[in-house]
Amino acid sequence: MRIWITVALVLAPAIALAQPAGSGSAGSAAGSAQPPSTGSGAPESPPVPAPAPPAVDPAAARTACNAALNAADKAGNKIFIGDVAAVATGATATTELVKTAEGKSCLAALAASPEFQKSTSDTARQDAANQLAATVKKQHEDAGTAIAKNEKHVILAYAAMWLLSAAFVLFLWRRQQGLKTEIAQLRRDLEAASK
Amino acid sequence: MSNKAIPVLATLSAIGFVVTLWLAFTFAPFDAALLFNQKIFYWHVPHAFMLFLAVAVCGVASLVFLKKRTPKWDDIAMASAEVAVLFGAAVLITGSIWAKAAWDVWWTWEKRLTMSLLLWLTLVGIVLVRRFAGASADRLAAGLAVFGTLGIPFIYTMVNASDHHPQAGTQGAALASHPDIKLVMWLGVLTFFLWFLTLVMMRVQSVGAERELRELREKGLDAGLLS
Repeated sequence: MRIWITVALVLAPAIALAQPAGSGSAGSAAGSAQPPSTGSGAPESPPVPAPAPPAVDPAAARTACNAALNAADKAGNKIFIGDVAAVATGATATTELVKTAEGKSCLAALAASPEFQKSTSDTARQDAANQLAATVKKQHEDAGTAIAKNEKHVILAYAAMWLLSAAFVLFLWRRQQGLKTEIAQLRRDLEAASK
Repeated sequence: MSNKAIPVLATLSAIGFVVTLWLAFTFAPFDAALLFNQKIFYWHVPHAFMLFLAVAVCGVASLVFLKKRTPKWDDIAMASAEVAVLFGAAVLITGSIWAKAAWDVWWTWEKRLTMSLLLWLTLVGIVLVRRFAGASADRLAAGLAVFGTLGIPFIYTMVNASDHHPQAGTQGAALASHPDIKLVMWLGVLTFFLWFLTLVMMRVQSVGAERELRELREKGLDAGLLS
């Protein structure tokens, strides 16, 4: 019995060393040796390849996105254009674009083609600058028109002059009438008294 | 003479008002620098000229009255002072409206504006003294009128020292450089000169009536009719 135990103790490590790494057979009851390369208690399984993303055709996605942008422009859908611009310029990563097919095509096109992303970003920035310039220009034009055709103050000034003159003339006329009446009354009284 | 002259002068003034207004808005060119606000100019400046004229007439008449003590000069001085208050108020109000339109402030304590306000307050003081100062009111008011007249040269010289107000020198010349602008402005000055004469004559008549009333009251007191 002791002989068999001794033989087992000697042979077991030899057998274990002789086996190829990762074969997983060393789990024998008598303190199986671990393969030095793993360092963990679990045996390594071969890596499972991740599912490959669906292949995107950058040209097709770009065409679809451009079509969607043109359609949105015609329809006046500034939200969609703004979302695409926001993603293109990197202003935001979270977007509503994932909820629609057109949005998805734009996201795919932007992700697949840095050139498309740059051109879209440049266009968005240029549009924003143009819009700001147009707003500022309109504000200046409106202010200029308001000053150039400042009818309110001119009318106010002429009305003030008319009113002042009219009030003065009315004041003079009423005082003159009062004086005339009083003079006539006094004259009558004096004449009556002298008779 | 006054009885016949007043309606004629008033009619001519009324025609002048209509013509100058029509010319100011249809004939006079649009001023590129002062824009539409410049239309205030056609009545604002004649009002200022007539203010100066009224104050000058008031001062000279007061000086003569102080020397001769003739009531006629006192009447003219008093009438001119009241008319000057009217024109001064018009100048200050229209100037203030113009300031709001051009500078976006109703008033600024600029030299010329401040001097004009002081002159106008002096004129108001003359009228108040004349009315409430009692027996010596005529001489007190006359002295104050002579003092007030001295303000005109100060205001006029302030033109060149002014901060914002359109200048009578370079800017003023540019303001009224266009012959059509000048024409309408001088037509306005002529109109307001006629209006000034109208108002002074009306007021002199009124002052004469007040004197007549005073004399009649004295007679009534003498006769025991009035108490």
